[in-house]
Amino acid sequence: MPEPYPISAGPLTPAAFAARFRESSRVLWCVAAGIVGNRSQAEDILQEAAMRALTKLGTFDPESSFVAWMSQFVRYIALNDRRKHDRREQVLRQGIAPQSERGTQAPLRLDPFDAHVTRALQTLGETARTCLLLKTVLEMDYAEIAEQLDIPAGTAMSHVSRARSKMRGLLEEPAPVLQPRGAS
Amino acid sequence: MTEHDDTAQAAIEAALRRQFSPPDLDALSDRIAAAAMAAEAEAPAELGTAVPAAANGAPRHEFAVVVAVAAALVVMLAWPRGDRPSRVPAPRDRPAVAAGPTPPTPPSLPGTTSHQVAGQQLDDFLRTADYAPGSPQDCRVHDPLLDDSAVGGGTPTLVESEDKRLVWECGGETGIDCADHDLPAKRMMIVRLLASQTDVIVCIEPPGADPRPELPSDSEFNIFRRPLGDYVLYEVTPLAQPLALPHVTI
Repeated sequence: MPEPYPISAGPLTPAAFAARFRESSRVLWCVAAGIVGNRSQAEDILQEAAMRALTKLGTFDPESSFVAWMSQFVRYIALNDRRKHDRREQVLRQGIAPQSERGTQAPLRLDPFDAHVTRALQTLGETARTCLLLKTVLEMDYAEIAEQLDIPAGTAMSHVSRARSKMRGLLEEPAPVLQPRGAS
Repeated sequence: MTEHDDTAQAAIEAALRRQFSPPDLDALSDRIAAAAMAAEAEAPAELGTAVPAAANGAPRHEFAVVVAVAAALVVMLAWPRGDRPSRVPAPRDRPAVAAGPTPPTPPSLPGTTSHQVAGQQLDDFLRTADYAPGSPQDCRVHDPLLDDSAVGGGTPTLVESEDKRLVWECGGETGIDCADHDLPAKRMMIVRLLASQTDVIVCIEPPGADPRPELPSDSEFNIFRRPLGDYVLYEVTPLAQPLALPHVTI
């Protein structure tokens, strides 16, 4: 249950930030997952983004969307994380495993169909991906998505429609992957 | 859409829901709330007045919040992280901190905290073995094996045993100030574990002197923390578990 927080026209206080974060955490998690394209890093990135945002409360415009504002931090952290990951990959390709890589968990094994869907999802643009996840996973309506992401409702609808179509197209071939799990 | 499209769409959406349903985020929200509380406590005057960022004093406000959030982050990283096996960026991957979090001390500089500096010093000292005989830091107490380390009577003492040997010591009653060797401890020992011929650092911090060292992210060592009475003990070791700390008693 979200805790009440003071609504004021001024900048966020840390307590108000924490309350709004709690209230929006599921949406923000989906935004993070949409930006990074997978769920494994979403929580870590969201935490880091929240910590960063907490030091920049003065940049929040009370007239704008909290989720949209937080998304900027999520995007920044996610991009940094991706760069770090790319550098690690480069080092690993050279056969030199950095010590910080020791002991990391094995990659998650996905159902083949799910893995295919994830790959297709990653071909979408960031906003389209986020819109699709908010619509599909959190079952938000277009007005809510628009409000959260600070975009027009028509744009949200268009993103979702095109994302669905593109996903279907990508998953048409090879045909067998379109068999949902458990289908005979 | 055709029936085939409908089927495909349903399958895709089911897959998305399976993979992207948010986990329970209460623990994360709690951690953020704790960090926010720390930020509030750090700068209550500034925060209470809700000064716009561009106004005078905003940088001071932001700096105070940055400091508080950095301190809170130290606490957060030491907390258990719920039920998922997660990516563990340093210093989370330290098996350190046997006990719960303690109140953080403020960092000395923005960007590089005093904890990180302390951790770097310990890491350097153990890695380079500067305490080895003949080294620039060779100022060890040349007493033979400890049967009781230099401090007794209500202060932590490393219990003697045949499987470990005191190699070097500063602070306590040695008359050697650890700070003279850029070591962030009031009292510090190098203990050699004879079975593995491994040297480990044991730090004994009296009440109010906890430097909360954080090892560098690329360190080959692990750091363990153990409160003992009003004291805080640390062990820096290349091993996966502390073998000296359990033998320190009051």
